[in-house]
Amino acid sequence: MDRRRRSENGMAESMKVPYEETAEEYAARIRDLVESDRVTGARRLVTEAIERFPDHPELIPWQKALSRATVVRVGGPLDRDRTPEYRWLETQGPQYRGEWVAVLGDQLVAHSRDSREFRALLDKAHPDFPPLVVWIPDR
Amino acid sequence: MLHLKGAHFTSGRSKFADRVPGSSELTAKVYVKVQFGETEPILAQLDTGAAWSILDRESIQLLGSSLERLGSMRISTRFGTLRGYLAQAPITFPADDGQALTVTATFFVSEDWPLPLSFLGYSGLLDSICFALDPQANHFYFGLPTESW
Repeated sequence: MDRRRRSENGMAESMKVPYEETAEEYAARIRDLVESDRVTGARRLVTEAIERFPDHPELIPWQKALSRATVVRVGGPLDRDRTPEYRWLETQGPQYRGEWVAVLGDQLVAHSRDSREFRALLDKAHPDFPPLVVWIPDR
Repeated sequence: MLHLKGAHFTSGRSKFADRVPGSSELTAKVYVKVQFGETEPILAQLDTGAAWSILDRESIQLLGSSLERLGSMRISTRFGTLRGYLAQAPITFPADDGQALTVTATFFVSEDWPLPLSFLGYSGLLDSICFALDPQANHFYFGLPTESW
């Protein structure tokens, strides 16, 4: 069948069949952009997709994932300058390669290679101020 | 804390470490203090060149149910291509001076991420806050964008 129609001046012109992208196709394209670090493009596309398919369950997670961070709270308890802890890590840290360490001032509060054991030791130590927790690379 | 042309720029400040002992990194990096939930502060590497923030396994456990799973994806890292998903979770920048800042940010989460170290990347976290570094004093300044005040 001839899919062309005649224009007013009698010339043949192609019929345009608009392609309707589905929400799933949008989601796949958004994922492709995200995986190739093209976040700005992904944000633009998710906005377009949500306009066409508001509340679609495949698009809402991408809309959230691509949104900017939102404020929960400004303020709260002050921490303190951890220069003594950094100094301890510099001088004593190499002895604890491959371990989790909790340091408060120039004191080691807990250490272990196993994160669960480390957490238990830390809970038991109950220091009067939260120590700094650091994993020390072993290579 | 810091002002730019009379407007708020940052509201809090903390001291960062520029290396961790035992690290194979030859050049200085920026390790800032963060908290996931009501826990002790830990160090996470600030990486403006990374598209996404990455959570280490320990932090994923600490976050528990406050981690909201979103789209599945894979990313290319120096450890190869990793499968995982994007998730939202609260992160706090504790302050030594000024005010701490807690935001809900987007992180990449993967069972295969091998380092017990979280990375703070650009999209969904650093692109949403104001921050500045004083490398002479190792000070990390942070706050909300001007329009948020």
